[in-house]
Amino acid sequence: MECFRIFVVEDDPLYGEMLKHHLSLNPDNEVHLFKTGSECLKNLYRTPSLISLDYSLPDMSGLDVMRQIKKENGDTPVVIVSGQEDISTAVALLREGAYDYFVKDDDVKDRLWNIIKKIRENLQLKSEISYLKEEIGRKYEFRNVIKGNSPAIRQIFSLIEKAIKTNITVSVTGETGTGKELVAKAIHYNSPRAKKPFVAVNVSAIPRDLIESEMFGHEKGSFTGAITRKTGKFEQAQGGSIFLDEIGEMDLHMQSKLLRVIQERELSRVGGNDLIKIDVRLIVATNRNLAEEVQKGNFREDLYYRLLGLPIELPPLRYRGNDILILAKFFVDDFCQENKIPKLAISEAAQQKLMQYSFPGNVRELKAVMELAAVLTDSDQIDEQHISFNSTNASSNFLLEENTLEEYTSKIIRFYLDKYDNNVVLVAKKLDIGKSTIYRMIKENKL
Amino acid sequence: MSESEHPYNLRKLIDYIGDDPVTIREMVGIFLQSANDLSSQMLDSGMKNDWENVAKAAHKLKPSLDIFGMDELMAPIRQIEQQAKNGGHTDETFNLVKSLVQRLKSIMLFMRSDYQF
Repeated sequence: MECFRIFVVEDDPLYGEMLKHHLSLNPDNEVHLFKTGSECLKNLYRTPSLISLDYSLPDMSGLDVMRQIKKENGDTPVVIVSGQEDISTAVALLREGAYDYFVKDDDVKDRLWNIIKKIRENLQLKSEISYLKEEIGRKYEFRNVIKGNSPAIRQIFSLIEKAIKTNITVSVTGETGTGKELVAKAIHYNSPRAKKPFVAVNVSAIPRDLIESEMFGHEKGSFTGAITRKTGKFEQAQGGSIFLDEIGEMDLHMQSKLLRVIQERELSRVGGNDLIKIDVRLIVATNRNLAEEVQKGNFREDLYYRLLGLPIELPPLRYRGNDILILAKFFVDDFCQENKIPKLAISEAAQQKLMQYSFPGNVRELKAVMELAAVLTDSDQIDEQHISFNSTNASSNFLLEENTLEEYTSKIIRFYLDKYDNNVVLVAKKLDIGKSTIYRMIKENKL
Repeated sequence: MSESEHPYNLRKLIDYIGDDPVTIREMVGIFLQSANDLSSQMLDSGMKNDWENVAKAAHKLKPSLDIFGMDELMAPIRQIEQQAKNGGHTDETFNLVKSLVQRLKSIMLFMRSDYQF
């Protein structure tokens, strides 16, 4: 741990030297003794971790020195050590922001040690928190977590970069398991708001009666069970970002409240009258088609346009071609590292099996499949037999969509074009159709 | 002389700074100097009826007397500080000051002899 710098401001030479000597017994402490308030103030640039301040100084009162310290180094704890037991002075100093107040008696050294211990622990915690925040930032450096280099995912990278540079509301859509929350975190932790909180709320998981209080907080006694004041998710995200997942599940009543908060950038807690200013970046996600929900009357049109912001539509994994293999390798490597087992290769046959599957559960499903495969193999390689798919039959789901034959044809061709990087010749060969058919459909905008 | 009869006691000081003889001697030296200055300040100010200064000096001297275990001087120094803060009871307060300084000087002589200052 770095040195703990203590200023002892004391004009009594004996008491000052004694405190200096005593506090220096811990080699981690760097103690400086000053005989006047102005000497202490001149040295504040050295950023002390603690100041022990005598209340009676020859040049200034302890209160004046403390006020000046608070003005210049607001976070530095100041402990007043006084020769007099004067409760009203003590209360006044504590009100002015003194960390503690004690009288010069036998307990001074023990109390000082306790305070130093507490402050050191706080500093340690603060530095750990700051380290963890940086770690999270590194973890969510978006190219580290969102893997792939298909045209579809490269387009997503470009949109994320745009989102990071501004404060625009972002709406992330995509099938289940495509990584909507991951994108939201990548935007937050790569934006200037990275050091402030990221608060994720799954709207569909909160009971209808509680959602307003969860989102905006409540005052004590505002309803049965509100035994204390509670801050809501928006307040918790102050200065940072709030991610509202499954926004399409929000009921109309709550939608109108949310709209007001977004428009006014302020809220009041349930049962409260005070308006609280909110500075929060909004990221929403849904796997519903919100435009259709607006038409059906399930979603407010004004809120829809407010939330639309920068739309990011995550492609299903089946449209991401070779990304399947990049992700499969990433998940296996990650699993091996986490479980401290040697790296595993993925055989050609296993790769082919992966590429032929439609992954209705998307990236989430692929991760589960690869982790299971890593567990099942007894060698240094994952083979075809270790890859097992448990999701409901994708092809029958596909047929249940009840599209026209032309729509099915279009979807199949689109799927293979995405899978093979728009290589029309290869897709025509795979589907055993003429490449002119594909070109015609492209021209007619049917793909 | 037994410990209970000794006019000063270093237990509290050692508690703070440890029992290194060099450091103890250094602290004794600082005390002798500052106690001498503060005693003179009390006497001079008392003679001039400057009770505010007497109170200040007594206030500064009090913790040092405590640290050096001069228990018999604690009650009079508190009394001097209190009376001087309230404007002084003139003769009574000044007599207290004179008596305390006299007693303190004799203890300091002990110290000078113990630590060869």
